[in-house]
Amino acid sequence: MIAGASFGPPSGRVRRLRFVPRATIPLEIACVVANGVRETLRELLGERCELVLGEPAALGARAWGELARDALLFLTRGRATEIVLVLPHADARRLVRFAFGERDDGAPELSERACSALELHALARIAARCAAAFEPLCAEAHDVARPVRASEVPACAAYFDLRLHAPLALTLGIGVVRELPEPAPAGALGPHALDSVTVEARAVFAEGTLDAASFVKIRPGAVVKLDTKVGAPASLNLEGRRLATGVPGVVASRTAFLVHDVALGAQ
Amino acid sequence: MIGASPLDAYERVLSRAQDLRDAFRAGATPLNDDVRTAPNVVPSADPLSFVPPPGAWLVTRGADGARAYERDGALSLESGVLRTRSGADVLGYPGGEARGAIPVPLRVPDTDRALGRAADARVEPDGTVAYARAAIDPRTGARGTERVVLGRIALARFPAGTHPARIDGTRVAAPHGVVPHLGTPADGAFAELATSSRDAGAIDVAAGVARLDEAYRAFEALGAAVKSRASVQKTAVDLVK
Repeated sequence: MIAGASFGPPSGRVRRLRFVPRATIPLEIACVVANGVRETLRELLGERCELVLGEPAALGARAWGELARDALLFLTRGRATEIVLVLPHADARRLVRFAFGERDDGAPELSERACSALELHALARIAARCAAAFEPLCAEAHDVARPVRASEVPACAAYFDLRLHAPLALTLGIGVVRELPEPAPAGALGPHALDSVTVEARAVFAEGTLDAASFVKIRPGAVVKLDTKVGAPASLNLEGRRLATGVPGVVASRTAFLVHDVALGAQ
Repeated sequence: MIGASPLDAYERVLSRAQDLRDAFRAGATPLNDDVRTAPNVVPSADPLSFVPPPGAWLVTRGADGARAYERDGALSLESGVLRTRSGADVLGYPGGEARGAIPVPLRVPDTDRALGRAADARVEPDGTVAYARAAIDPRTGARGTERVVLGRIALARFPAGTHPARIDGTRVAAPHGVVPHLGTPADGAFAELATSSRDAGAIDVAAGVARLDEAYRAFEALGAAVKSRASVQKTAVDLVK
């Protein structure tokens, strides 16, 4: 369990420090999903969309119940996890009205009424299009997003919200039913830890074998024929070990080595 | 005094005693105006605690839906709704402007309420109730914050010379036929709120003690008079016998 530190609500003069579960959704993946949803909405609404995402949070059953209570839910099943798109009713009405070309006139009687069957169908289509952006979370979606009731999906373990600021204000929730596997621990040391260390590298573009008699006869102007064929890859060696293969060349006034393949651990 | 009812005198003692009991109660309305004084404003670490300007009342709605007016500005967010210490919903204007708007309870958005994001909500001098929540730009991954405004707290003022009808120690209602003026702090009609403060009572303790002493002496004098009159009547009856 990964926990984050947080301050609870004030109790008298004190806000107690508490540890709360932290979602394991990598922020990079949440950003990819958000960007995908933004582009999908841009295509569907025909206007430039601006959105930000909220910090991914771990959810308890109670919090999930509150989030799902007054919202339309669309489930996308995947290999890694299931994703639930949470669209609060009020936001759903605004979204579908905008999609149908009605602009928000602030009339409460319109925003309070229930969606018609046609509007629900349109919302399901929008959700299905947005679900394509969930691929980084699902890892192979098994089917298209379909509308479900809250009782038909297990409580989500993690959640983040996409807050659309333009062309209309609404919130799309992304619920993750099963937490993603925790990423492998990063290396203890980064490459920058070796910044002060220098090594001597040798680029070898050809090799051959000479007998001793030929070696002692070498004079200026002599031509030594090597075993390596023309066009064979050169190697970059460190302490006799081959680190990479590539092509020798020139960059500006210096010789250079264009790496084609890195052979870590190779002899 | 002899003609006064002993029960009335006793009630006066009780009302004076009640005023003293409420001397340090935030937002308390004394039963007797002659002990009322300016609120004793003291600092508070609670960002949701404030003191309304003199003569201004918070507009609240109780569980029964009835509108009331209170001066205790020690508020809290319960179930995502801004409430007074008495549990009544605090009314305000989500759009920020009082003109042409009906005050409604100020609520935290459902998502933020479920995720507990409004823990650092605060009341600002102009009555704005706001909090900050994390916002991440998906293009860059940069973290920032965005401000969420629940609205501005509504204030009410009764016409000069009007005595609000007392409901209990901290709540009053508008007298029949009187419509209070509604607005928001710092809107020109109302002064700013004294934020991060609390009302430590608006009753003059010294005056309250003196008035209680007077009421008690009056009650004692009336009691003595009643006792004396009873004694005279008894003597007269004995003579007749």
